[in-house]
Parts: sequence; C-alpha cells; structure tokens
Amino acid sequence: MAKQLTPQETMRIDLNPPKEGWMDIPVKIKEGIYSYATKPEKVEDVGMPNPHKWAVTDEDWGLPENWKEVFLEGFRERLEKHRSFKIFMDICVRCGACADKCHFFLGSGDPKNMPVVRAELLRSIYRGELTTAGRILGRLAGGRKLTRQVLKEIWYYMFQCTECRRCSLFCPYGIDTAEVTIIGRELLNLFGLNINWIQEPVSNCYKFGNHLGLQPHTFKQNIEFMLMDIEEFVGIKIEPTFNRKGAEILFITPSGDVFAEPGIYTLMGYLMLFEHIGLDYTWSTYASEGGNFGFFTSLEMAQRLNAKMYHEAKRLGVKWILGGECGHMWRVVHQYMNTFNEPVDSLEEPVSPITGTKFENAKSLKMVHISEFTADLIKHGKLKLEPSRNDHLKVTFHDSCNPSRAMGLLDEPRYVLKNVCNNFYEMPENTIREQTFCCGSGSGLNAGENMELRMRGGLPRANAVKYVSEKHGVNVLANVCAIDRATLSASMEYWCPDVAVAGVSELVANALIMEGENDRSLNLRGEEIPGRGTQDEEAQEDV
Amino acid sequence: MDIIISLGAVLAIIVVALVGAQATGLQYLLGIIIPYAAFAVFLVGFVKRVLDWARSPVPFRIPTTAGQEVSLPWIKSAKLDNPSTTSGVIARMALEIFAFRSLFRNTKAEWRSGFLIQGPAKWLWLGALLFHYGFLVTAVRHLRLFVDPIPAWINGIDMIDGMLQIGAPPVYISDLLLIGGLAILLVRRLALPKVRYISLPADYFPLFLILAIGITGLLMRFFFRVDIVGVKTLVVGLASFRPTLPDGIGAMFFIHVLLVCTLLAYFPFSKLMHMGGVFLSPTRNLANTNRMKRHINPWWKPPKFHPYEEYEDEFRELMKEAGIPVERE
Amino acid sequence: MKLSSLLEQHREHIKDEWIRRIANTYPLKTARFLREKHDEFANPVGSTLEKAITSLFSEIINECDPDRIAGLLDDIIRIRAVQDFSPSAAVAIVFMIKDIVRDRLAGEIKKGDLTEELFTFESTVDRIALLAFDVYMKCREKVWEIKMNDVMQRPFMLMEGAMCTSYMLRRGNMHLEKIGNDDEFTDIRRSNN
Repeated sequence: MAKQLTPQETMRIDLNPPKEGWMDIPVKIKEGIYSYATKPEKVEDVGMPNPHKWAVTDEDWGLPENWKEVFLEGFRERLEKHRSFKIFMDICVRCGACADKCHFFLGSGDPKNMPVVRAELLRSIYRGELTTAGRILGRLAGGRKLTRQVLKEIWYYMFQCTECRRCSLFCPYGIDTAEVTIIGRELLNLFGLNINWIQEPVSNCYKFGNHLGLQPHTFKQNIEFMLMDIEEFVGIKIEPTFNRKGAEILFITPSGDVFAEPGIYTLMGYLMLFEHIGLDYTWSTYASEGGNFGFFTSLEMAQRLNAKMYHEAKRLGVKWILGGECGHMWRVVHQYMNTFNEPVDSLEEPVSPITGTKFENAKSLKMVHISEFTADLIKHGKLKLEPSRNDHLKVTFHDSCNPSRAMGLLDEPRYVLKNVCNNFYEMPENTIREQTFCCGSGSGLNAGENMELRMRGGLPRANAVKYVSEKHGVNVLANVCAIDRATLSASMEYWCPDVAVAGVSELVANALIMEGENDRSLNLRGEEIPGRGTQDEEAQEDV
Repeated sequence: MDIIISLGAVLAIIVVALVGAQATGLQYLLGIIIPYAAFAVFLVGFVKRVLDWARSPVPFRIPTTAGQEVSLPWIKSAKLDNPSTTSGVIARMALEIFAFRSLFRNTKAEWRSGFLIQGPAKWLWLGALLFHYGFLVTAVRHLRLFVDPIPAWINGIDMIDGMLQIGAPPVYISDLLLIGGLAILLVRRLALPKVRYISLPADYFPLFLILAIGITGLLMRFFFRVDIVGVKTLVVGLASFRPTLPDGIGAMFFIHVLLVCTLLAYFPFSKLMHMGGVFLSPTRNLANTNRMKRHINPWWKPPKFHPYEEYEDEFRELMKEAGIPVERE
Repeated sequence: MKLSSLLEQHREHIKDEWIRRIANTYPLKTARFLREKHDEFANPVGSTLEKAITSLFSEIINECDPDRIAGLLDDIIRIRAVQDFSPSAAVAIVFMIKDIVRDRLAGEIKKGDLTEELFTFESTVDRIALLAFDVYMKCREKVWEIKMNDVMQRPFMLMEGAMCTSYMLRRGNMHLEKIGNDDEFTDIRRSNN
C-alpha cells in the first residue's frame, strides 16, 4: 500500500508552528487579511508624499531610492515630537499582560497580533537602527535592521490593528498600541503605502466634505429620501435646513449614516428627534462628515480634515456644534480637535435650548455628543416616549472603542436605551464598558477584501453577543458608531445571524410619540412592529 | 539561546568578582572604584534619560479612559479611572504605581469562579507586586550600612522586616518577597509560551542579575559570613567620600557588590527605566479634560484645508439648483 | 468489551487529546494559550473548542444526530474558515479522532477482536468529515456573500444621486407595486443598471 497521508501531514503543508523567535519568521502576506493598495491619484489629491501605483502582491512596492533614510529620519522626528512614542519605545518590559487582550490575536491565533509584538516590530527597528547599544549588540539588544521585508511586515501588521486601545487599558505603564500604530502608519504614509479604503475617503472628504464623496445636492437629496420614508412610515413631514446661517446649532454626523443601511435609520432617528423638540439647527453639506479617516493616515491629515467643522460653524454663525453617533469621530473630536484648532470666538458655551442644561464638560470645545444631549432631554422629561413599541426587541449595547476608552461615554447611551426599550441586557462584564471588544473593523479596516481579517477580529465581540442572544434572546445590538453599524452587521451575519444592529437614535425615534403621527405600525425600517398591525391585517391573518 | 546568553553573562560577572576578590589591588577596584563609577553612571544615566523623555513634548491629551467621563451632573463619573482633576490623576497614578492597578484589572473576570488568584495574569500581578516591594524594602534596609549612627526609622523597618523570627540571624520578609516574586516572574516567563515568545535577552538578563544579587545576599547572611564591621567601614567610607579598604571582608561580598554595580550601570540603558517612565506616561498622567480646557501643542501649525469659499466655487451651480443657500450668487 | 463502551471508558482522555491536537494546528505559542485559559469571553476560540469537542464526542458515541453534529462542527469550523487554514486543514480536525482512537485503543481492539466495530466507527467519522466539508463550504460562501454585499454597498460603485444599493433595491420593490411608475425611483433604478 502506498504511503499514508495523515491529517497532520496535510496540515503541515500550510502551517509550520514557528520554533524560532518572531524576528526570524519572514512575513507571509495573505489574501483576505490585507486591504488593497492606495491609488496614486487619491494620494495626490491631498498632496501626500510619493503617490505611485503599487499592489500589495508586488515584489517591489515602489519605494524611493532613499527610503531607509526617510523612514529612520521620520522615526527620529516623531520620537522628538511625541513623548508618548519615545516612552513607549523605551519602557516596555514585555510582561505579556496585553498579549491576550487583542481581538485580532484572540480571533486569529497569529502571535504577531499580540499587541506587544506589534509594537516590537517598530521597537526592534528603534533599537537596531537608532540606539547605540542596539547598533553594536544587534540581536542581543533586541535590535534588527530595517529591510524591505521588515517594512512589509510592519505594513501588514499596522493594518491589522484597529487602534482600539484595549491593550493600553491592561498595560501597567499605559503603553498604547494605538499610539504606536498611528505613528507606524504615519511612517508608511511617507511612501504612499496606505490602503485605498482609507485613502479614497480621505481624498473625498477633502474635496467634497465627506468620505463618500457625496456632492452637496446629493447629500441633500439622500436626506430627502429619508424624509420621504419618515413621511410614509410615521406620517409626518419634516423639513430640515442645509447650510443655514443663523441656526443655533450645527449638526455633524458621519456620512456613512447618510448612505448605508442600517445607519440611515439612525439618521432618520436624528431627524425625528430634532423635529420632536423643535431644535433650531442646520445640516452642512460642506462639513458633512463627522468621521475622520485622515486620523488613519497621519495626524496632520486628521487635522486638515477636522478643520472644516470649526470653519463651517464660524461661517454659519452657530452657537455650538452637536455631534452624532460615531466612534473614531469622537476620538478625534474629544481628544484632538481642541488642540488641532484655534478657538472660534463666535461659538458659545453649549447650553441645551430645550432644558437649559449647560454642558460644562464641553465648555471649551463647544461640541456635545448626541447621547449626552438626548440623555439630558429624557432626564428632564422633554421627550414623549412609548418604549413599548420596542418591546419585540431585546437589546444589548456594544460600547465602541473610542467613546469608551478615549472619552468615557458609557452611561449616557445606556440611560437613553433603558428609557426607550423595556428589554435591555448587558453582555458579560469583561466585554463591555472600558473593557469592550472592538467590532474588528475599526480604524479604516472596514473594507470588503479583508473580510477574513474582519471576521476574526469580530469574533470576541460576536462571542459575547452570542452568549446574551442564547441566554436572554437578545436580537438587537445597539451602538453609537457609524462604523459599528456597518461592520457589526457583517460580523453578526457570520457569527450570530439572529441579531440585528441598530443605532441608539433609531431606537429612540421608534419610541418617540410625534405630533401628528400615524398609527405607527411600522418602524423606521418600514417593517411591521409585531402586535401593532392594523385591525384589518390582523383580521386577515385570522382568516 | 537568549536564556543561556543572559545566564552566562551573570555567571561571568560572578567569576570576575571571585577572581578579583583574591588580590588586594583588584579589591580596591571592586570595592571602591567600580562602585563609584557604577553609581555615577546610574545617576547621570537615569537623569539624562528622564530629561530626554521630558524634552519631547506631549502634543495631545490622550488619557486612556477606564470609566465614566464627567458629563451631566446626575451621571456618576469614575473619579479614579477617568479623572478630570489633578487630584484624581494623582490618585490614579498612585494606585498604578503602588498597587499596579492596571495589572490587577486582569483578575476581574475571574472573581466569579470564586478564586482570587487564578491564571497567568494574576500571577503576573502578584509576582510583580511581591518583587517590587521586596526590592524596595531591601534597598531601604541597606541604608543602615551607609550611615552611622543608624537612624531610628531604618532600624524600625529592619525590625519589622525581620519580625518573622525564623532562624538566626532572622530571615527578612523582604528577602522572601524579593526571591519569591522573582521566581514567579522568571517561571512565568519561561513557562508561558506567549510570554516566552516575546522575551528578549534584555528580559532574562535583569531577572538573573537581580536573582543573583538576592542569592549572594542571602548566602552572605547565612552561609558565607562576611566581616560585617569591615563591610560597614567600607560602605560608610564610600558614602562619606573617604574610602578605606579593610582587610578580610570575604569574597562573597565582592561578588554581591559587583553584581549590584552591574545592575546600577545597566539600569539607565535598559527596560528597567520603566521605573521612571511610568510617571511620564501620557495615557495615565493626564486628566480627561479635553473638552473643558484647551491643550496646547507646542509644534502646532495651522492646517492646510479646503476652505468653504473654494468648495462653493466648485459646486455653486449644483448648490443653487438644489436650493442650498450660497454666499455669492 | 465492545468498542462503544471502550470509547465511553476512555472518553476523557480521547476528548482531551482531540482538543490538544486541534490546538496544536495553531502556531506553538497560540496552541498553549488555547488550551490553558478557559474564560469564555477572554478566550473565545479556546473555550468554543473545548465545549464543542466535548459535546461532539458525546454525540458520536451516543446518539449521532446529524443536525446536532453539524451544529457543533459549525461552532469550530466557522472559526477555522476565517483563519489561516487551507480547506483541508480546516476540516481535517475530524479525522484526528481516528488516529487518537487507534493510538489509544490499539491493544484492546486487537485483543477483543473489535476490528469490525472499528471499521463502523471510522465510517461514521468519514461521514462526519463530509458534514464538516458542507459546513466549511457554507461558511466560506457566507464570507463571500458578505464580501459581495459589501462591495455592492460601496459608494464608489454608485452613480451620482443614488443611495445604498441594497436599500434602493428593497425600496424599489416596495414602491413598485404601490406607486408603479414613480419617476424618481425608476430614474434611480435606471441609472444603477
């Protein structure tokens, strides 16, 4: 008989467990894990360096002649500009506390996805090229040389980190891999080595005001489509304004919600909420993007895209800015915007025109989160609510990485949810609030071609959702993030198909008792609400 | 391989000291010159390193928030985990530095199963805490060798540390903590595959070095007694800058001293600098006041963005057609 | 003694060995992690593996219900389908049980002359492997379906003045009956085609 082929042998074809240290294992770039390379014209649009045509599968990534010097010089410059980066390069003791905190490590099993190793990819270059001890002792001092292969490895893993900061929470020195990834990506952007899924929205946002590249009339038209839906499902006519000077408040939200399911339902929620309370506000087609993919290329690009918010607020003469539900938008708005921009004198300290509440925590930046705003409205009894319309939903809440670990917005959305839904269940405690797991596709990794990566990264979150879904029958995963709405939908479809994804404001609007509304037998998705069908239909069903 | 190199380096230091201790000339080198040099390297190196970090600015306020923010007055904020005041930050840092709070966070999930310490993450917290406190008390206790007469507070620490009253001379609690903590950290690093995977020579070397320091210290106390009066004379002499070298101190002392000197000199160039770095970590030592107070970036430059005027120029006709107001008709 | 009772008797060992071998298909360092930490949420892959294999083995030696078996295979293979495994490596976990049983029970099978029963058992395993193949394909097709939906929703694919495709398709159908030749919607559908 011929030699037998054992399962172990078949598998060994693909998978050699590494026996050497990680530095000795050259990177294997795999389909389904990476996103496609930047298109040169999208780099050019915003005047970033080295626009060129390249593909991830190419042997030659089109690096300039002096790439090594540029990289190391860029490295040095950033060490001098960021104390965080310098300290994080120096003080890691490799205790391993972060290792199993990363959703990508948990979902992929790839040891290079341990946050410590991801950072060591850069640290090894730092030691091997930029410190005296490392230059002399080399590997003995944990240093290695920068080669084209190593650069590819850095690229591969810098785009397998969602900058979610979960590891930073567990680090005894607060070493933040997000900070390392942000700077790692900045360095790669010196050579035009980004992914197009990030670069194209950046270019769009720069030129058209939003990631999707919606021109002013299209932006308005899309919202008008939703107004038609509201008219049909709710029976009321809403007429919001665009680019209106003299409005009290400017409302900015991620453009993803203007465009894709299920985000559009959240946007319909905003429209109804503002109508309900008679808010004097305007949309802007120019500052029509809350999110900031610039943050995933370089801090400078983030600043350039962010500048529009204040610029537009000043032009329109509004008193303050209200921001919609979004994750990384709030990372930039909360932690960077007040530093990126000079103060705008025409803005005033935010006060809710409905309740008179002063938002003391936003008195300098003058920008308030919709969950803070809505929670205040509910607390003061300014919303007429019928939460039983959401009774067929069993809701759990996913904390988005940025609002939880870079802001601390934890109880506001929960307060809102508990007032608009009667069935609310928390996921296990080590998967929520500050310990929340990433959706698996943040920081611009929500492309289509890297779906395997996204599914892996989404596993720890989905696993916890599955738990409450099996235990309590949870069927809705609520959140306050436009990226979550898009990516968790995909992740749920794969891991727990019975769970739908919804923005908090969508659930608010479903429960809102609007003046002049119809019988509200349909929800914002145009689906019939169980138990609220019209008499006729019920009679028909009986027959 | 990394382990062997690190262990070999420590053994080499011991051999050098052992050989050196036999010759008076080399004793002078080991007992006086090297300690001065090592201490100087430590002091200058440490200060330089910290100043070097401090020289880099903190352009953005980026605390890792680990609890509820301050927002509406009726929502309870997490004063320690998401501080918005200086005192909150100090308390957060104190918990971080004295109780290793972030490492302890690991335990939370496991409380449910009824065990306090379970799984590798808890061992890390425990080992780290034991080791660092053991090291601190041991270091403070050693001050009694540097001053004469010995201040009461050092004697107090000495007494409390030795209160177990096991054996003669009594075993110090801090010695047990130090060695026990080190053992946990070392075993963990060797036994846990994921930690071993990430370990470098720079991780093993300090462990072996400090372990060797602890062991030689214990050996001196219990087995290879050294002339304590001679040691005190030498150390007080060093401390008062009138170094003398008494005879017959014993080789074990020189081994111990050379190991300590290696540690001092190695310290500023190694990961051991986390001792200084933890105080400067921007994700921990900043208050979450971003929207309340403007944080200034010293290298700030005005952004080059796409201003509204240009946008309107590009889309004016489309905007007018769609009924969106424009600045210039 | 019959093979089934032998399997029952050695249940713990065989099950643990099976989990160990599956974990070993991951890189060394990860394999240990998968085996050692069992918090359901801190280590989803490891705990799923443990739970599913335990139930799967019981199912094999007791009821052998194909639906339940497919469900348990789904738990494990759904994960492997998006990890760095070739299709064969993803489903090969099923065959491992054959080797384990032979390694563990070789002597007793020979002694008790249980070869016939072993063949039956192995045929069962083969059928389960076929189920695993179905499950794997189902998962991969799902990934591609999600990918395709994702691409269809891409803004760059769309004409000016349009909305998210899946939404428009649905809305279009809803309106088709109600409003028939509503200009706005037919226009959009045309421009999308």
